[in-house]
Amino acid sequence: MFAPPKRHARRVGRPSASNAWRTRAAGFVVLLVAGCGAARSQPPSVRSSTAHADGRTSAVSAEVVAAPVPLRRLTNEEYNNTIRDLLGDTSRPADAFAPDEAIGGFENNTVSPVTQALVERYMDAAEALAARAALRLDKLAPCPARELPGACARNFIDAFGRLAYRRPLDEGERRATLAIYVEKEKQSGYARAIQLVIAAMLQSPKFLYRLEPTDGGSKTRALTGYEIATRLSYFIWASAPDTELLDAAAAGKLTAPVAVGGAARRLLKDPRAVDGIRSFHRQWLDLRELDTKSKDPALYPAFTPELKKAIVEETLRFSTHAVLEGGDAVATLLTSKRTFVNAQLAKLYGVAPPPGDGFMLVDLPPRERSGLLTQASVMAVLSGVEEASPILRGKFVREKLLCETIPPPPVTVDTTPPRFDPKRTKKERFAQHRTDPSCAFCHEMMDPTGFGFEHYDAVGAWRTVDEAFPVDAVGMLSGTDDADGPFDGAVELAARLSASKQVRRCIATQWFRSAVGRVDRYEDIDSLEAAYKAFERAGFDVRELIVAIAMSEAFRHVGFYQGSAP
Amino acid sequence: MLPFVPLLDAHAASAPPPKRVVFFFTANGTIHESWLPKMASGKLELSPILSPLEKFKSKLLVVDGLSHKVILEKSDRSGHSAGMNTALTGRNNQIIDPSHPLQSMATGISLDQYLADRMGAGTKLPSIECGVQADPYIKAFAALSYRGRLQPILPENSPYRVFDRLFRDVPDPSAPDSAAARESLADRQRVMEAVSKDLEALKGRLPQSDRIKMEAHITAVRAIEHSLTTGAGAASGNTCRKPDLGPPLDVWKNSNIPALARLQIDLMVMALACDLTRVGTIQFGQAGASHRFTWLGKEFVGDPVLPSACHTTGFHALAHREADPVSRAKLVKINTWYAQQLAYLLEKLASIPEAGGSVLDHTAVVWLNELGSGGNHSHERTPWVIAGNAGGFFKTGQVVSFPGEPHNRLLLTLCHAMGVATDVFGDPDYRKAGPLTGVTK
Repeated sequence: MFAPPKRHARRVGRPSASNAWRTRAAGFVVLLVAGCGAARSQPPSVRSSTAHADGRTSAVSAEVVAAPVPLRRLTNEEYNNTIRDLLGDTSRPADAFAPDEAIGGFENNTVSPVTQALVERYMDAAEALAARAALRLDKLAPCPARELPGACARNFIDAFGRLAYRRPLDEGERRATLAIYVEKEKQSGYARAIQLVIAAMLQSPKFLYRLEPTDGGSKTRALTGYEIATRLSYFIWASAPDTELLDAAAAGKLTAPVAVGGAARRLLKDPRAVDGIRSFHRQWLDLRELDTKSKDPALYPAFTPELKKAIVEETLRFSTHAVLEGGDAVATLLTSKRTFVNAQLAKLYGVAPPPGDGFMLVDLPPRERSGLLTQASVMAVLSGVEEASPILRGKFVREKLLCETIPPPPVTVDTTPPRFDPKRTKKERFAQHRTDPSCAFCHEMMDPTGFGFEHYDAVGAWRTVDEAFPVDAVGMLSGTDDADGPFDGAVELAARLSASKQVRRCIATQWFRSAVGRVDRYEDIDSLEAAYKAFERAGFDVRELIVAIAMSEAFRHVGFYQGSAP
Repeated sequence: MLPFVPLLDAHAASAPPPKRVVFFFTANGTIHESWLPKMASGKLELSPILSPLEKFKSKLLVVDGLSHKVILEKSDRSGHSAGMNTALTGRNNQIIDPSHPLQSMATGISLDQYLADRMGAGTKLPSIECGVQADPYIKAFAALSYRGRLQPILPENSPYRVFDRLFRDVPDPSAPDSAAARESLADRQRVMEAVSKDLEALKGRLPQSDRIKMEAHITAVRAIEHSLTTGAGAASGNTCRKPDLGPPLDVWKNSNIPALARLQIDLMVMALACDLTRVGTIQFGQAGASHRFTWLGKEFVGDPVLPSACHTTGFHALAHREADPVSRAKLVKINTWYAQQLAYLLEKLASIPEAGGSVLDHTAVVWLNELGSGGNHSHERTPWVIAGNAGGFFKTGQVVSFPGEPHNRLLLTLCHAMGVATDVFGDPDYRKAGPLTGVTK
């Protein structure tokens, strides 16, 4: 876990490494925050460890100082995928668990411990899964008549345990698990005993947590091959390591950076990489907000549950396609004039529907659409029930694409948008933000950017008239490293953002955060720099970014809190 | 109602009945001039918001003037989440995500959990936390209860799940002792034992900051082990019943809120009547709740609604606009509706006979809010109403005022009311003055 924010580092906490990393931007964030109220930020400290300034990583970790990584509990998505890969069970039991906790924008369950209610759900899920598995033991734990059940059980415990705990069982674990089997077998026979073993293993902390024990140490250490296998598979697949990855760990082939990079490349070629890439984009773009968001049915009758599902599916397919087709994925994500639509979505975008029920890659009106930013899912997330929100949209660009932190408004401010007024355009209604000095500084960052999206209504449909006024989507980007300037509409804005190094570094930072399960810190500067350089060298192929993050020191090491941890 | 015979009569006629506490949370502050009752010739004269409690006014203690001083004086963040963090913990909060400054958590145990640790040992569940559409998306807003520093407990929004937690595995002496049930109980015990061992072994291998997670997990496992073998007791022989929940409702449909509230209250009452727990919370929404109270009148239909902690919707948007007379009138209506729900709960508790009185006589039901008023999101004058006198502890039938005093003093008073004579609950800087005076018999 990151260090706790100091008392006076109000609202933004301490600046994340990505801000320190972009030194100019770090200064900007401090300024921005100071302008937003009483907030202050801390200056970045100087990194004390020996730097690997060329960005290369070394296999020897004596000089590496890595950031601590708090204990992660499987997220609901990881639990479901892991169960699918372990047992072939696609019932998604974790959908009934409490929602995951996100830190730094990515789900990682690193702060709150489990509650009794959640442990009860783990119990229910494990029992139900084990009961279903027991019906398919001929596949999972076959035991032909010529073999002794005890021997079959031993084999099963070793094989299943290795996959469930993501490393081989030690002698004590093998004995303890076998004891559960033996006692139950006497009572109720082979099948029921195996069932109980499965239920027990699925409730073990060794299954539920991604363990990287420190064993009382107080220095950064290199992760073991098995721990790297686990980090890799959850980063790239959002699921557990497969046998091949565990075999590589067993053979000592998962510690050298080159070997880790090789394994990452293999994982990226596996169909499961689609799960990981979808998961990243779902979280980065806050698409889970749509789960609970509704729109005024009188204003948006077309926004049915089916359409809601379709717009999320569109973005996930589009993003996955952008990453896996190779080339400059940032340009594709931000400026592509094509997307995946089904018949319903085609209507929303005003294009010819594809034949059949499925999704198809189609061309969009090029003056209306440009990549992710103009997709219906993103526009709908960044809208209220009735109205599009220029503020949320501007904030999104600042936070998700430029990696800045905008503090929340002072609590006493009425943040309800100004009411509809037939005599005033939306820009005029929102103008108070920029004349009231207590609001102006932050809103200057958000509103002029967000107004660039005015052509998209609260469900992302194109409009040229809003509230009886012609749409005015002229905007201005300011305070960035290299993307400042005027633009008319989101298509121009997206082109500006796509050309920005700050944006490209930010996307690298977002992937990094999702990989390490925390916000980036000072110790990560070299790793981030190395990853970004590799990303740039590869012409911004995201797959190479993923490989470079996997090879980085931060990914292959675990650090310790100095002093008291949160 | 399904008949349900309790396993044992937990408290024989001679033993004094156990004390119980229920925290009843509603959000977004109140409208003080419509909330604060008066004293007229020594008698409590109820306000418009509290008027549904007329029948129980001799059992009410209304406490005005307290503030979340620890937040006002120490916190980096005020507002909804800060109020939620401190309301039952009496502690400061901490921002947990540098990229998301609204995400804060409490830095200590909440009163319900503190009391559950001291009052809940003999019951199946140490405590139960129920929600009525308390959006769990951001824990900072959703969690009223904390097991400890940065250890939030989310309320259970599904009455069906609450039912399951309360009544599953409760040994029923009227049912034949089935071999299958015994076997599955033994299996669970075996697994819990193994899980405990794993957790204990891992604890020592993790850094200090992660050990707390193992410890919390161990506590949860122990509580489950205990619950597997602990049956129901009863306040009085024939009042413990499994409530019939009727046809299943969509737990997230706005218009189902009144029906869901009934179900959660019914379950809470039965949890106490069957002595399955002695500590409960019912949360109507989360801090900053954005429900739309369409069942209270046509004027609410136009309020925008989003079932997430968003700034622009429903109840929360009205609270922001409390200066506007139309919004103000609606806020009074909303809070009056909450008082009706409280009255329903009190009615039910009063209908269960116990030791010559009713369960209500041995219970404190505590209505609290995360804010004082919604318009300025103030942490001053947070509205507190205590109903039931906790076994003769409180001097009820009065309104008392402690302007500017920390609410920590009330939290301490509630400890004493439950027979937990401590003076060290909450932030050390705000408990020196001890419990409130003039509120006890």
